[in-house]
Amino acid sequence: MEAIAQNCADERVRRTFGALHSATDFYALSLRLGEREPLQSAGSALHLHGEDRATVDCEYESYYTDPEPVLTFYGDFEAAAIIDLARQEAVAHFGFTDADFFEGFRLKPTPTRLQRLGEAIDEQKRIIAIRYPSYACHAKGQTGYNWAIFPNALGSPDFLRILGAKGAMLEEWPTRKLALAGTWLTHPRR
Amino acid sequence: MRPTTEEEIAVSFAGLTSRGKIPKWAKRFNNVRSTTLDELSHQESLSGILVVQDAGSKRMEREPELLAMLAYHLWKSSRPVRLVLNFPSPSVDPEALTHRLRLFRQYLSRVDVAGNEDLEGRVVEALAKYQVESEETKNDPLSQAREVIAATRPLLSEESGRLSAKAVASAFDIPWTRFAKWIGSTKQAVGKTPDSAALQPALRQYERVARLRAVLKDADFRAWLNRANVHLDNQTPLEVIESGRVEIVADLVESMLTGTPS
Repeated sequence: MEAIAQNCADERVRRTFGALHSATDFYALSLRLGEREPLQSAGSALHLHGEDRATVDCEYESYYTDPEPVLTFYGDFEAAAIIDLARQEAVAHFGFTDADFFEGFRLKPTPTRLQRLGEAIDEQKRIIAIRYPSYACHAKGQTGYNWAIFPNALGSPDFLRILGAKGAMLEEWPTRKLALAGTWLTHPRR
Repeated sequence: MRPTTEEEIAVSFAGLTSRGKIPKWAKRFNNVRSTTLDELSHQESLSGILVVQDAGSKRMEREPELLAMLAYHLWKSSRPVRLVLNFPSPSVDPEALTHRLRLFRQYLSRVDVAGNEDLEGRVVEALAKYQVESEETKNDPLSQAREVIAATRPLLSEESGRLSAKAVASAFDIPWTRFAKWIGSTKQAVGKTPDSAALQPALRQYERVARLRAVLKDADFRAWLNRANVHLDNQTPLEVIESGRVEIVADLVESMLTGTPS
Protein backbone atom coordinates (compact mmCIF):
# COMPACT_ATOMS: atom_id res chain seq x y z
CA MET A 1 0.00 0.00 0.00
CA GLU A 2 2.91 2.34 0.69
CA ALA A 3 4.03 1.75 -2.88
CA ILE A 4 0.63 2.80 -4.13
CA ALA A 5 0.78 5.93 -2.00
CA GLN A 6 4.24 6.75 -3.34
CA ASN A 7 3.03 6.28 -6.84
CA CYS A 8 -0.31 7.97 -6.67
CA ALA A 9 -0.18 10.67 -4.02
CA ASP A 10 1.50 13.94 -4.70
CA GLU A 11 1.06 17.40 -3.25
CA ARG A 12 -1.69 18.12 -0.77
CA VAL A 13 -5.04 18.52 -2.44
CA ARG A 14 -7.95 20.61 -1.38
CA ARG A 15 -11.39 20.40 -2.91
CA THR A 16 -14.82 21.79 -2.31
CA PHE A 17 -17.48 19.63 -3.80
CA GLY A 18 -21.18 19.03 -3.67
CA ALA A 19 -23.53 16.21 -2.96
CA LEU A 20 -27.03 16.41 -4.29
CA HIS A 21 -29.93 14.87 -2.47
CA SER A 22 -33.66 14.56 -2.48
CA ALA A 23 -36.05 16.73 -0.57
CA THR A 24 -35.31 15.40 2.89
CA ASP A 25 -32.52 15.37 5.39
CA PHE A 26 -31.55 11.85 4.38
CA TYR A 27 -27.97 12.98 4.08
CA ALA A 28 -27.78 13.32 7.84
CA LEU A 29 -28.73 9.67 8.02
CA SER A 30 -26.44 8.48 5.30
CA LEU A 31 -23.15 9.03 7.04
CA ARG A 32 -22.51 5.38 6.90
CA LEU A 33 -22.19 2.98 4.05
CA GLY A 34 -24.66 0.73 2.34
CA GLU A 35 -23.94 -2.75 1.18
CA ARG A 36 -23.09 -1.96 -2.40
CA GLU A 37 -21.34 1.10 -3.62
CA PRO A 38 -18.87 1.70 -6.39
CA LEU A 39 -15.87 1.73 -4.09
CA GLN A 40 -16.83 -1.06 -1.77
CA SER A 41 -19.04 -4.12 -1.64
CA ALA A 42 -19.78 -4.40 2.06
CA GLY A 43 -20.18 -1.81 4.75
CA SER A 44 -17.32 0.35 5.94
CA ALA A 45 -17.24 4.07 6.54
CA LEU A 46 -16.98 5.97 3.30
CA HIS A 47 -18.21 9.30 1.99
CA LEU A 48 -19.01 9.64 -1.67
CA HIS A 49 -19.34 13.06 -3.26
CA GLY A 50 -19.59 14.49 -6.71
CA GLU A 51 -16.68 16.76 -7.53
CA ASP A 52 -18.67 19.70 -8.79
CA ARG A 53 -22.18 20.87 -9.47
CA ALA A 54 -22.23 19.52 -13.03
CA THR A 55 -21.28 16.06 -11.79
CA VAL A 56 -23.81 15.95 -8.97
CA ASP A 57 -26.49 17.11 -11.41
CA CYS A 58 -25.49 14.27 -13.69
CA GLU A 59 -25.66 11.79 -10.83
CA TYR A 60 -29.04 13.08 -9.80
CA GLU A 61 -30.45 12.88 -13.30
CA SER A 62 -29.30 9.29 -13.60
CA TYR A 63 -31.59 8.42 -10.69
CA TYR A 64 -34.66 10.56 -11.34
CA THR A 65 -36.45 11.30 -14.56
CA ASP A 66 -38.40 14.25 -13.22
CA PRO A 67 -36.86 17.04 -11.21
CA GLU A 68 -37.65 16.83 -7.53
CA PRO A 69 -36.80 19.42 -4.89
CA VAL A 70 -33.40 18.68 -3.44
CA LEU A 71 -31.08 19.58 -0.65
CA THR A 72 -27.54 20.35 -1.58
CA PHE A 73 -24.65 19.83 0.79
CA TYR A 74 -21.09 20.79 0.23
CA GLY A 75 -17.90 19.22 1.36
CA ASP A 76 -14.60 20.87 2.12
CA PHE A 77 -11.75 18.44 2.09
CA GLU A 78 -7.99 18.52 2.39
CA ALA A 79 -5.58 15.62 2.45
CA ALA A 80 -1.99 14.79 1.68
CA ALA A 81 -2.43 11.39 0.10
CA ILE A 82 -5.07 10.50 -2.42
CA ILE A 83 -5.36 8.20 -5.40
CA ASP A 84 -6.40 10.15 -8.45
CA LEU A 85 -7.84 7.81 -11.03
CA ALA A 86 -8.04 10.67 -13.51
CA ARG A 87 -4.28 10.29 -13.86
CA GLN A 88 -3.10 7.83 -16.44
CA GLU A 89 -0.16 6.72 -14.26
CA ALA A 90 -2.54 5.74 -11.49
CA VAL A 91 -4.88 3.92 -13.87
CA ALA A 92 -1.92 2.11 -15.40
CA HIS A 93 -0.55 1.26 -11.96
CA PHE A 94 -3.71 -0.65 -11.09
CA GLY A 95 -4.22 -1.96 -14.59
CA PHE A 96 -7.73 -0.51 -14.80
CA THR A 97 -9.54 -0.19 -18.09
CA ASP A 98 -12.68 1.75 -18.98
CA ALA A 99 -14.73 -1.35 -18.23
CA ASP A 100 -13.64 -1.14 -14.58
CA PHE A 101 -15.14 2.32 -14.30
CA PHE A 102 -18.07 2.22 -16.64
CA GLU A 103 -19.66 -1.17 -16.26
CA GLY A 104 -22.38 -1.38 -13.63
CA PHE A 105 -21.30 -2.86 -10.31
CA ARG A 106 -24.66 -3.62 -8.78
CA LEU A 107 -25.41 -6.86 -10.58
CA LYS A 108 -21.89 -8.26 -10.44
CA PRO A 109 -21.81 -11.51 -8.46
CA THR A 110 -18.43 -10.71 -6.88
CA PRO A 111 -16.77 -7.44 -5.83
CA THR A 112 -15.44 -5.48 -8.79
CA ARG A 113 -11.78 -4.49 -9.06
CA LEU A 114 -12.72 -0.93 -8.10
CA GLN A 115 -14.55 -2.18 -5.01
CA ARG A 116 -11.57 -4.32 -4.07
CA LEU A 117 -9.31 -1.27 -4.35
CA GLY A 118 -11.67 0.67 -2.07
CA GLU A 119 -11.67 -2.14 0.46
CA ALA A 120 -7.86 -2.33 0.41
CA ILE A 121 -7.61 1.43 0.94
CA ASP A 122 -10.04 1.20 3.81
CA GLU A 123 -7.70 -1.16 5.64
CA GLN A 124 -4.86 1.34 5.80
CA LYS A 125 -4.53 4.85 7.20
CA ARG A 126 -2.30 6.66 4.74
CA ILE A 127 -4.45 7.22 1.68
CA ILE A 128 -7.50 9.25 2.51
CA ALA A 129 -9.47 9.40 -0.70
CA ILE A 130 -9.93 8.12 -4.22
CA ARG A 131 -10.97 10.35 -7.09
CA TYR A 132 -12.69 8.27 -9.74
CA PRO A 133 -14.70 8.79 -12.93
CA SER A 134 -18.46 9.16 -12.58
CA TYR A 135 -20.41 6.30 -14.10
CA ALA A 136 -23.51 8.51 -14.42
CA CYS A 137 -21.65 11.25 -16.30
CA HIS A 138 -20.09 8.70 -18.62
CA ALA A 139 -23.51 7.22 -19.35
CA LYS A 140 -24.59 10.70 -20.50
CA GLY A 141 -21.51 11.15 -22.65
CA GLN A 142 -19.97 13.61 -20.21
CA THR A 143 -16.89 13.60 -18.04
CA GLY A 144 -17.12 14.03 -14.30
CA TYR A 145 -15.42 12.77 -11.17
CA ASN A 146 -16.55 11.59 -7.79
CA TRP A 147 -14.61 11.38 -4.57
CA ALA A 148 -14.61 8.48 -2.14
CA ILE A 149 -13.29 9.67 1.21
CA PHE A 150 -12.40 7.31 4.03
CA PRO A 151 -13.13 9.28 7.20
CA ASN A 152 -11.63 6.68 9.52
CA ALA A 153 -8.26 7.35 7.96
CA LEU A 154 -8.49 11.11 8.39
CA GLY A 155 -6.03 12.55 10.87
CA SER A 156 -4.95 16.14 11.42
CA PRO A 157 -4.03 18.18 9.42
CA ASP A 158 -6.24 16.37 6.87
CA PHE A 159 -9.93 17.09 7.22
CA LEU A 160 -13.37 16.65 5.75
CA ARG A 161 -16.11 19.14 6.54
CA ILE A 162 -19.71 18.86 5.51
CA LEU A 163 -21.16 22.29 4.91
CA GLY A 164 -24.73 23.47 4.77
CA ALA A 165 -26.38 26.81 4.21
CA LYS A 166 -24.05 29.79 3.98
CA GLY A 167 -21.10 27.56 4.67
CA ALA A 168 -22.26 26.49 8.11
CA MET A 169 -20.32 23.41 9.17
CA LEU A 170 -22.55 20.45 9.93
CA GLU A 171 -20.00 17.74 10.50
CA GLU A 172 -16.26 17.58 10.65
CA TRP A 173 -13.66 14.85 10.56
CA PRO A 174 -11.37 13.91 12.21
CA THR A 175 -11.94 16.18 15.16
CA ARG A 176 -15.57 16.14 16.17
CA LYS A 177 -19.12 15.82 15.10
CA LEU A 178 -21.28 18.88 15.37
CA ALA A 179 -24.96 18.99 16.10
CA LEU A 180 -26.99 18.51 12.95
CA ALA A 181 -29.37 21.42 13.02
CA GLY A 182 -31.83 22.92 10.60
CA THR A 183 -29.26 24.70 8.56
CA TRP A 184 -29.53 22.67 5.38
CA LEU A 185 -29.42 24.59 2.18
CA THR A 186 -32.76 24.05 0.50
CA HIS A 187 -33.64 25.12 -2.96
CA PRO A 188 -35.57 23.85 -5.92
CA ARG A 189 -33.32 22.25 -8.42
CA ARG A 190 -34.74 24.05 -11.39
CA MET B 1 -26.40 6.09 18.39
CA ARG B 2 -28.22 3.24 20.08
CA PRO B 3 -26.46 1.19 22.71
CA THR B 4 -25.34 -2.01 21.15
CA THR B 5 -23.65 -3.97 23.85
CA GLU B 6 -25.34 -5.86 26.60
CA GLU B 7 -23.41 -3.79 29.14
CA GLU B 8 -24.94 -0.53 27.90
CA ILE B 9 -28.55 -1.59 27.53
CA ALA B 10 -30.68 -0.38 30.43
CA VAL B 11 -32.59 -3.01 32.39
CA SER B 12 -35.32 -1.47 34.54
CA PHE B 13 -37.19 -3.35 37.24
CA ALA B 14 -40.47 -1.61 37.97
CA GLY B 15 -42.70 -2.29 40.93
CA LEU B 16 -46.38 -1.59 40.94
CA THR B 17 -46.52 0.70 43.96
CA SER B 18 -42.92 0.83 45.14
CA ARG B 19 -39.57 0.60 43.40
CA GLY B 20 -38.84 -2.72 41.77
CA LYS B 21 -36.57 -5.23 43.43
CA ILE B 22 -33.39 -5.95 41.54
CA PRO B 23 -32.67 -9.68 41.71
CA LYS B 24 -29.14 -10.70 42.66
CA TRP B 25 -28.46 -12.20 39.23
CA ALA B 26 -29.33 -8.87 37.57
CA LYS B 27 -26.56 -7.03 39.37
CA ARG B 28 -24.14 -8.29 36.77
CA PHE B 29 -25.70 -5.93 34.24
CA ASN B 30 -23.92 -2.56 34.22
CA ASN B 31 -26.98 -0.49 33.55
CA VAL B 32 -29.60 -1.89 35.87
CA ARG B 33 -32.02 0.25 37.84
CA SER B 34 -35.00 0.13 40.08
CA THR B 35 -38.06 2.22 39.28
CA THR B 36 -41.82 2.32 39.59
CA LEU B 37 -44.44 1.62 36.96
CA ASP B 38 -45.60 5.20 37.34
CA GLU B 39 -42.14 6.57 36.59
CA LEU B 40 -41.80 4.34 33.57
CA SER B 41 -45.21 5.33 32.30
CA HIS B 42 -44.29 8.99 32.34
CA GLN B 43 -41.03 8.52 30.53
CA GLU B 44 -41.30 9.97 27.04
CA SER B 45 -38.35 8.06 25.70
CA LEU B 46 -38.25 4.45 26.77
CA SER B 47 -35.22 2.32 26.13
CA GLY B 48 -33.81 -1.06 27.02
CA ILE B 49 -35.55 -3.87 28.83
CA LEU B 50 -38.47 -3.09 31.12
CA VAL B 51 -39.42 -5.69 33.68
CA VAL B 52 -42.81 -5.07 35.28
CA GLN B 53 -42.98 -6.97 38.53
CA ASP B 54 -46.23 -8.05 40.18
CA ALA B 55 -47.85 -8.22 36.77
CA GLY B 56 -50.32 -10.75 38.12
CA SER B 57 -51.65 -8.59 40.93
CA LYS B 58 -55.38 -8.06 41.28
CA ARG B 59 -54.84 -4.31 41.35
CA MET B 60 -53.42 -4.36 37.88
CA GLU B 61 -56.53 -6.15 36.74
CA ARG B 62 -58.81 -3.60 38.38
CA GLU B 63 -56.83 -0.65 37.11
CA PRO B 64 -55.70 -1.40 33.55
CA GLU B 65 -54.69 2.23 33.12
CA LEU B 66 -51.63 1.41 35.25
CA LEU B 67 -50.22 -0.42 32.25
CA ALA B 68 -52.04 1.45 29.49
CA MET B 69 -49.79 4.50 29.57
CA LEU B 70 -46.70 2.32 29.45
CA ALA B 71 -48.23 0.43 26.53
CA TYR B 72 -48.75 3.73 24.72
CA HIS B 73 -45.15 4.85 25.20
CA LEU B 74 -43.91 1.45 24.14
CA TRP B 75 -45.94 1.73 20.97
CA LYS B 76 -44.56 5.20 20.25
CA SER B 77 -40.95 4.27 20.93
CA SER B 78 -38.64 4.16 17.92
CA ARG B 79 -36.29 1.93 19.88
CA PRO B 80 -36.66 -1.83 20.09
CA VAL B 81 -37.77 -1.63 23.73
CA ARG B 82 -38.82 -4.97 25.18
CA LEU B 83 -41.16 -5.59 28.06
CA VAL B 84 -41.08 -8.55 30.40
CA LEU B 85 -44.24 -9.04 32.44
CA ASN B 86 -43.19 -10.83 35.59
CA PHE B 87 -45.89 -13.01 37.14
CA PRO B 88 -44.46 -14.15 40.47
CA SER B 89 -46.80 -17.10 40.83
CA PRO B 90 -45.65 -20.22 38.99
CA SER B 91 -49.12 -20.81 37.54
CA VAL B 92 -50.29 -17.87 35.48
CA ASP B 93 -54.02 -17.30 35.20
CA PRO B 94 -54.68 -17.42 31.42
CA GLU B 95 -57.51 -14.93 31.74
CA ALA B 96 -55.35 -12.42 33.60
CA LEU B 97 -52.60 -12.90 31.06
CA THR B 98 -54.95 -12.30 28.12
CA HIS B 99 -56.25 -9.22 29.88
CA ARG B 100 -52.72 -7.75 30.20
CA LEU B 101 -51.62 -8.68 26.70
CA ARG B 102 -54.65 -7.02 25.08
CA LEU B 103 -53.02 -3.69 25.89
CA PHE B 104 -50.04 -4.64 23.75
CA ARG B 105 -51.84 -6.18 20.81
CA GLN B 106 -49.93 -4.19 18.18
CA TYR B 107 -46.49 -5.29 19.29
CA LEU B 108 -46.93 -8.54 21.14
CA SER B 109 -43.61 -9.73 19.76
CA ARG B 110 -41.91 -7.24 22.08
CA VAL B 111 -43.61 -8.56 25.18
CA ASP B 112 -42.41 -11.58 27.13
CA VAL B 113 -43.99 -13.24 30.11
CA ALA B 114 -41.95 -14.81 32.89
CA GLY B 115 -42.40 -16.34 36.28
CA ASN B 116 -39.80 -15.78 38.98
CA GLU B 117 -38.01 -19.03 38.08
CA ASP B 118 -37.45 -18.21 34.42
CA LEU B 119 -37.17 -14.41 34.74
CA GLU B 120 -33.39 -14.41 34.38
CA GLY B 121 -33.57 -16.42 31.16
CA ARG B 122 -36.28 -14.17 29.74
CA VAL B 123 -34.34 -11.00 30.53
CA VAL B 124 -31.18 -12.39 28.95
CA GLU B 125 -33.20 -13.39 25.89
CA ALA B 126 -34.78 -9.94 25.73
CA LEU B 127 -31.33 -8.32 25.95
CA ALA B 128 -30.08 -10.42 23.08
CA LYS B 129 -33.10 -9.58 20.93
CA TYR B 130 -32.77 -5.88 21.78
CA GLN B 131 -29.14 -5.96 20.79
CA VAL B 132 -29.84 -7.63 17.46
CA GLU B 133 -32.65 -5.21 16.66
CA SER B 134 -30.49 -2.23 17.67
CA GLU B 135 -27.77 -3.37 15.29
CA GLU B 136 -30.32 -3.64 12.53
CA THR B 137 -31.53 -0.12 13.18
CA LYS B 138 -28.00 1.18 13.44
CA ASN B 139 -27.23 -0.26 10.02
CA ASP B 140 -30.41 1.14 8.59
CA PRO B 141 -30.52 4.84 9.48
CA LEU B 142 -33.06 5.63 6.77
CA SER B 143 -35.63 3.57 8.64
CA GLN B 144 -35.86 6.44 11.13
CA ALA B 145 -36.48 9.17 8.58
CA ARG B 146 -39.90 10.71 8.98
CA GLU B 147 -40.59 10.63 5.24
CA VAL B 148 -39.65 6.96 5.03
CA ILE B 149 -41.86 6.07 7.95
CA ALA B 150 -44.77 7.89 6.32
CA ALA B 151 -44.10 6.32 2.91
CA THR B 152 -44.03 2.80 4.26
CA ARG B 153 -46.82 3.05 6.83
CA PRO B 154 -49.43 1.81 4.30
CA LEU B 155 -47.43 -1.41 4.05
CA LEU B 156 -48.14 -2.28 7.67
CA SER B 157 -51.01 -4.30 9.00
CA GLU B 158 -53.16 -2.13 11.25
CA GLU B 159 -53.70 -5.09 13.55
CA SER B 160 -50.16 -6.24 14.16
CA GLY B 161 -48.03 -3.30 13.04
CA ARG B 162 -46.00 -5.72 10.95
CA LEU B 163 -45.46 -5.64 7.20
CA SER B 164 -48.35 -7.17 5.31
CA ALA B 165 -47.54 -9.16 2.17
CA LYS B 166 -50.84 -8.10 0.61
CA ALA B 167 -50.19 -4.41 1.24
CA VAL B 168 -46.64 -4.68 -0.08
CA ALA B 169 -47.84 -6.50 -3.21
CA SER B 170 -50.39 -3.77 -3.76
CA ALA B 171 -47.71 -1.05 -3.52
CA PHE B 172 -45.75 -2.89 -6.21
CA ASP B 173 -48.92 -3.38 -8.24
CA ILE B 174 -48.41 -7.14 -8.24
CA PRO B 175 -51.18 -9.67 -7.52
CA TRP B 176 -50.49 -10.95 -4.03
CA THR B 177 -50.91 -14.52 -5.21
CA ARG B 178 -47.91 -13.97 -7.49
CA PHE B 179 -46.05 -11.98 -4.85
CA ALA B 180 -46.35 -14.89 -2.42
CA LYS B 181 -44.00 -16.86 -4.65
CA TRP B 182 -41.48 -14.01 -4.77
CA ILE B 183 -41.16 -14.07 -1.00
CA GLY B 184 -40.78 -17.83 -0.89
CA SER B 185 -44.25 -18.48 0.47
CA THR B 186 -47.54 -19.85 -0.84
CA LYS B 187 -50.80 -18.11 -1.65
CA GLN B 188 -52.46 -20.20 1.04
CA ALA B 189 -50.02 -19.02 3.70
CA VAL B 190 -50.12 -15.38 2.60
CA GLY B 191 -53.89 -15.50 2.21
CA LYS B 192 -54.28 -16.76 5.77
CA THR B 193 -51.73 -14.55 7.57
CA PRO B 194 -50.31 -11.86 5.27
CA ASP B 195 -48.46 -10.24 8.18
CA SER B 196 -47.02 -13.39 9.71
CA ALA B 197 -43.78 -13.04 11.63
CA ALA B 198 -42.17 -15.64 9.41
CA LEU B 199 -42.64 -13.44 6.32
CA GLN B 200 -41.07 -10.34 7.86
CA PRO B 201 -37.42 -10.93 6.86
CA ALA B 202 -38.40 -11.39 3.20
CA LEU B 203 -40.81 -8.46 3.26
CA ARG B 204 -38.23 -6.13 4.78
CA GLN B 205 -36.27 -5.91 1.50
CA TYR B 206 -39.45 -4.90 -0.35
CA GLU B 207 -40.14 -2.29 2.29
CA ARG B 208 -36.66 -0.85 1.58
CA VAL B 209 -37.57 -0.60 -2.10
CA ALA B 210 -40.93 1.00 -1.31
CA ARG B 211 -39.14 3.78 0.58
CA LEU B 212 -38.75 5.43 -2.79
CA ARG B 213 -42.37 6.45 -2.34
CA ALA B 214 -41.00 9.02 0.10
CA VAL B 215 -39.96 11.07 -2.94
CA LEU B 216 -42.05 9.60 -5.79
CA LYS B 217 -45.81 9.48 -6.16
CA ASP B 218 -47.36 5.99 -6.26
CA ALA B 219 -47.82 6.09 -10.03
CA ASP B 220 -44.25 7.33 -10.55
CA PHE B 221 -42.93 4.62 -8.25
CA ARG B 222 -44.70 1.95 -10.28
CA ALA B 223 -43.45 3.47 -13.52
CA TRP B 224 -39.92 3.46 -12.10
CA LEU B 225 -40.26 -0.24 -11.25
CA ASN B 226 -41.08 -0.97 -14.89
CA ARG B 227 -38.56 1.31 -16.57
CA ALA B 228 -35.13 0.14 -17.79
CA ASN B 229 -32.53 1.46 -15.37
CA VAL B 230 -28.96 2.36 -16.28
CA HIS B 231 -27.79 1.42 -12.78
CA LEU B 232 -29.17 -2.09 -13.26
CA ASP B 233 -27.51 -2.71 -16.61
CA ASN B 234 -30.69 -1.51 -18.31
CA GLN B 235 -32.88 -4.13 -16.71
CA THR B 236 -36.02 -2.89 -14.99
CA PRO B 237 -36.13 -2.98 -11.19
CA LEU B 238 -39.00 -5.46 -11.42
CA GLU B 239 -36.95 -7.77 -13.63
CA VAL B 240 -34.13 -7.74 -11.11
CA ILE B 241 -36.58 -8.34 -8.27
CA GLU B 242 -38.24 -11.17 -10.12
CA SER B 243 -34.84 -12.77 -10.65
CA GLY B 244 -34.57 -13.03 -6.87
CA ARG B 245 -32.25 -10.07 -6.21
CA VAL B 246 -34.55 -7.62 -4.50
CA GLU B 247 -31.75 -6.49 -2.16
CA ILE B 248 -29.87 -5.02 -5.15
CA VAL B 249 -32.86 -2.83 -5.97
CA ALA B 250 -33.20 -1.94 -2.28
CA ASP B 251 -29.56 -0.79 -2.22
CA LEU B 252 -30.14 1.27 -5.35
CA VAL B 253 -33.11 2.98 -3.70
CA GLU B 254 -30.93 3.77 -0.70
CA SER B 255 -28.37 5.37 -2.98
CA MET B 256 -31.13 7.40 -4.65
CA LEU B 257 -32.50 8.64 -1.36
CA THR B 258 -29.15 9.60 0.06
CA GLY B 259 -27.78 10.99 -3.20
CA THR B 260 -24.87 8.57 -3.22
CA PRO B 261 -23.04 9.03 -6.51
CA SER B 262 -22.16 6.19 -8.81
